[in-house]
Amino acid sequence: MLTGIDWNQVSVALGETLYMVSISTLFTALLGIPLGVMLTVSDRGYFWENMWVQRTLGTIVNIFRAVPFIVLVLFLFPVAEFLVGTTLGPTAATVPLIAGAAPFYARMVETALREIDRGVIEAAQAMGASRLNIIWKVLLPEAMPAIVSGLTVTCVSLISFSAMAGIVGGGGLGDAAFRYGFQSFNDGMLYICGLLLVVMVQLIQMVGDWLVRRLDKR
Amino acid sequence: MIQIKEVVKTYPARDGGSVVTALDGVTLTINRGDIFGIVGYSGAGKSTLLRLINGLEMPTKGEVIVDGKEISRLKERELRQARQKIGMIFQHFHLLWSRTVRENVAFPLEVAGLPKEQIRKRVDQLLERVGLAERADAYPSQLSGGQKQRVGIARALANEPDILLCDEATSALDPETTASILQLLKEIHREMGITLVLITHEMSVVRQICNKMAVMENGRVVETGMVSSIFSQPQQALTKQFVKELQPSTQGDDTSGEVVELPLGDADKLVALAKEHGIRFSVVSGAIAGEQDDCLRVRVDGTEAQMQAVRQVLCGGERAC
Repeated sequence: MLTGIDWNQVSVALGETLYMVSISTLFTALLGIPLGVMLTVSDRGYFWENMWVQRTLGTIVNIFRAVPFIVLVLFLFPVAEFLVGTTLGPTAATVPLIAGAAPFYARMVETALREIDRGVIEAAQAMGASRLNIIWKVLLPEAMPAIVSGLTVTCVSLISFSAMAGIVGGGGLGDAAFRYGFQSFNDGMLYICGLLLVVMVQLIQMVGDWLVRRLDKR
Repeated sequence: MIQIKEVVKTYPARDGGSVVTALDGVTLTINRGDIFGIVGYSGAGKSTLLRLINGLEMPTKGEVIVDGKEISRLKERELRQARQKIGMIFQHFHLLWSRTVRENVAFPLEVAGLPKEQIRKRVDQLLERVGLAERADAYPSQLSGGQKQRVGIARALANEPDILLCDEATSALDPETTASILQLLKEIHREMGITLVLITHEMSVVRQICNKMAVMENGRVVETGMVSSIFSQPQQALTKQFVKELQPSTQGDDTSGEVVELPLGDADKLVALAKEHGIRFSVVSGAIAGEQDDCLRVRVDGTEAQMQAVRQVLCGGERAC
């Protein structure tokens, strides 16, 4: 079953996937968390209420979430050229990956923040905390377990999305499985790439769950 | 210390409902060092009233003056500084569960920008004071309700406030824990001379700890005064109901006659009267809670002539002091 595997190709593909997933997870977090915070604190009844900002951000997020990922990939490869100087390879693939995942993750962060008891925010205000104090010292730490578990889920879906982005020019395990395995009638390549993807998902989920358990003091 | 003048608070209509009036012309003065209880059923507006004092709610009309400053006129920065001198504790504690006991108490000090070393010292002091020194590194989820409220109190006192607001602080606790928390609040009041404002629906809390009180109904203060006089002579129907709830088995003869107040120093006059006219009297209440309340209340029962004599000798009327 594992005959005819070009380990060199496999390791290159694995490297590309790891690269795409880690870069896009990092930027998803960097964009998604502030976006989720803004979506929450600008909503009615929160301490930075601004319905104009809330609705505008909400609409943009929804548009990105509504567009099918494959369409996003095709649309954003030109944007990738502008942003990272290339439309090919794993670096270019990170652009649609981030654009697809960050709005999705922002909604997860928003949900996590809304779970926080409003009374706790009120207590912080009563102690004279500023709005930034409340974000940094109350909202983010209190919601951290849910923020991390959301990132785990997002990271796992980034792996499957990266396989899709790979086929249209991003490289990685998905691309290798498709081209060297499926199209070349090489079952060994197909299975090994699939197996590596499964192992990656398992590992990420395990690490994420472990982190959440450590962070959760409830 | 705290003056609330003609305050109206309304909330705008939402989802086709009508405008909600939470406070409907409330005027109240709370003096420095008072332990002021505000009672009322839920929806009476007491929670809104309490939140006016630290600016968590702003009045629609009227003014709220705390320590000479009108709260609604303060800029955001000034308001935050004013809030550091107004502690607040809550029914459900509202601790940060991601922080240890020590870190929870440190929160207001971090916000106030104290250096780390000073925060550590102050937190140790506070935890010692509320009797939780050995639980400093526990998380709130590992504490009992009473312990959580002690953390809440330590946190509220961190910046040495002049006022402590208590929002149904004992309503989620069992009677024994309630008693110990009230005891702690009393001690802190005595040590720090802090002004306590507490809202509750439990008259027993008011009786145990407060010197003055207000009764609220439908966004209005219907009765206010010294706790002892309100308990002995409730005027409004609602107040009577509250007082009755507390004493389900009032003895019959306790309500006959008339309650007279006199300064504690005049007690000997009363004794003389009793001897001379053969008047029966019983002490209703008498507290020596500082200069504001060295007042003796006695229930006097007798003929009209005897009552006349009593009124003549004793400062001539009700609520003389």
